Amino acid sequence: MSTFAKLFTAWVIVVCSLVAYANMTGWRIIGGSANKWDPAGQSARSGFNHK
Amino acid sequence: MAGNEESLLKKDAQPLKPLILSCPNCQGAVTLLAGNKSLVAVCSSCGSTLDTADQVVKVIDKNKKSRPIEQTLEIGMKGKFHGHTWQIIGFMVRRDKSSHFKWREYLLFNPRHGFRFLTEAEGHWNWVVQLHVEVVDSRTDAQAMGKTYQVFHRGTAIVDYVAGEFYWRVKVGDTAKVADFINPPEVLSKEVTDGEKVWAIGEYMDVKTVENAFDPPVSLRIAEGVAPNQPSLLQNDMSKIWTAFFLGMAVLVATQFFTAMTSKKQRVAEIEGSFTNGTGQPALEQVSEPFELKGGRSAAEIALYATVDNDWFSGVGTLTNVKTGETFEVETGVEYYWGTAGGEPWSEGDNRSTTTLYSIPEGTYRFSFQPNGSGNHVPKTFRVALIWDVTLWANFWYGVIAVALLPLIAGWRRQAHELKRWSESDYAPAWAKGMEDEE
Amino acid sequence: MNQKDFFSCPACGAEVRFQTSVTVTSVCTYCASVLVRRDIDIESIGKVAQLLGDVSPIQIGTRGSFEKTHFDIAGRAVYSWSEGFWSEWFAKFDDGRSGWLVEAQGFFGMCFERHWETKKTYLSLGQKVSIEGHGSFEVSDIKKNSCVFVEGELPFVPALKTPRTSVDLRGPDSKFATVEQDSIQLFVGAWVPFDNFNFHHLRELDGW
Repeated sequence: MSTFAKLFTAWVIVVCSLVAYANMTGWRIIGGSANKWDPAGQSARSGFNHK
Repeated sequence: MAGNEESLLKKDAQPLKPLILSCPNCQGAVTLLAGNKSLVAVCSSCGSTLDTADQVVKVIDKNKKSRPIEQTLEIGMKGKFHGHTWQIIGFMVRRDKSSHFKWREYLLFNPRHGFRFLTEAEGHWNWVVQLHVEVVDSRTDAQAMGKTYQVFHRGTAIVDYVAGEFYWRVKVGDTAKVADFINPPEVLSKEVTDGEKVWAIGEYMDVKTVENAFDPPVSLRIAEGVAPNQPSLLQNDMSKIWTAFFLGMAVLVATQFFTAMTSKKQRVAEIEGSFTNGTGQPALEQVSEPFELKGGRSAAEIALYATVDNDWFSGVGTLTNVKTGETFEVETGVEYYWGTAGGEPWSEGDNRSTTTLYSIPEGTYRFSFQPNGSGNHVPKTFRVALIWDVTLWANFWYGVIAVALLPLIAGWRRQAHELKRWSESDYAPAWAKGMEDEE
Repeated sequence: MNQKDFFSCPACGAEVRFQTSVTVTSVCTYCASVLVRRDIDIESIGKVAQLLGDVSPIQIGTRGSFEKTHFDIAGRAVYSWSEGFWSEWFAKFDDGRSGWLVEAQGFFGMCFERHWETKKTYLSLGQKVSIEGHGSFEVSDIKKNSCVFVEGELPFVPALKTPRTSVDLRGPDSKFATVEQDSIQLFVGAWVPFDNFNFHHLRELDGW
């Protein structure tokens, strides 16, 4: 297998492993620590002002 | 009846030696490495091109030309290619009549395996052998050995420089009509001289392979641009890339299915209350009874419902580990607006929301909620629940995008390579013409 | 039908052998006289000079195989034309067949004489000829040539230094054919990579 083919296979293995691990530990791969308010189904276009 | 080997073998057979002739111009020694197989040799002393076909050596060209600086391999060098040793016995520089593009050809010889060529252009190398198979060519392509080769170049080649020896009659100034057909990594070349047609097949050879064929290895220039028959690095990998893509997708779908099936989605705590802002009193923080979060680390969800009517409501949900005191806090809220504009009803938002808390370790916790803001001064009731071990979908989608990148990037790179390849040809197929159309 | 296989060279008296049943010519290994067997006697038709600059890896006594049958090289004829030389090595097969190992421009091929029904002698460049059992061939070359050197044993009497015309034809795959216009003979064969012949007893080459 060429270098590229090896690289691509490794990439798929890494991604699948990461997704499986993240799902098992309840971690979100991107933005896993930033706990944001996610209004169900709608974008908060109107903004959200406090006080 | 098998021949008697011993009796047929010639007595005292001497090992063969190269032939040494005398140059009729300068009387210098001319060594023919390929013996009587060479028809033409260039005297290394005076530069005259000599006809060595028969007993009487004749001068066919006295014009001595200076050695081109682009010559990187020397006459007499021996290198190992495709499992056999080959000796460089000839070298020539040829030029395209219309574009004046120059390339170099090295003639290699092995007494058992015959002749081969190493051609070099812009640092790209090809291993070339004369063909004896049937080739059917047309205006657009050539068919040979069950493969189709696309026309890449047609032109006239002129010999600019010769050195060493050759097995056909050649001298500076000779011309030949040439046509190149490609099927990377191969190139099929047709050469017509005085009506005689000769076909040759070339295979792209990596610079490193050429460098390491010699002992000690030679150092060659870096290749520039894309050669006509240079294979794309990804050419042979596309099927592997698609396989990796489909396998990756299958694994991701299976993983997500398993995740969805095994997540408990357990409602562990619930808090209810009401809130009115503008009363001047701080809102009450309500705390739940302790509960267990089991099964290792996982994600939790805060589901909020509030009776907002053209209004918004927010609060802070906190998960506190009873034993360690560690807290996980998140701001959450809902907003819902509606009305009619020009007879058409519209709405924005929802009076329900879910907020995810990621990577919560198992343990004993309390959940608390403190409302902290709202739009109108209208009392609202709210209900907030904590759901443990929810299904995450984000990772799955990230995975899908990441795996899909493979064929996308590979396809894009291949396309870029192919466009570069055909940019040098007058016979580029329609899809490769790109920006050249305006000319 | 002659039983005698050993003769004395009429020029130098050395022992001359005719070892295959089809051999009619044998070159004396000591004086290079070309001896032809006529009934019970042998006659010299001339001498051949040493072949200068010969770098062929094949020699008399080389053994090889073609299409699973083995052969021994018993003789050689070298032809000269305007563009150089080529060799035709006489291959005596274990199964009794006679073949010709052609060595030209570094390429090797094996061919056999074939019965030629049409006996078309006049052929032009580019002309298409159909050879029964082998396919369609195209005339690629018409060469005026002559035999300039022989060694070993041959199944014919060479016409030394006598001009003749050979027509080369290119066939399907790697097949080739040759028509000898003067002797009205057809030979059909194929080009084969050197390694496929599995040669033994090749000639030693200085530096290789």
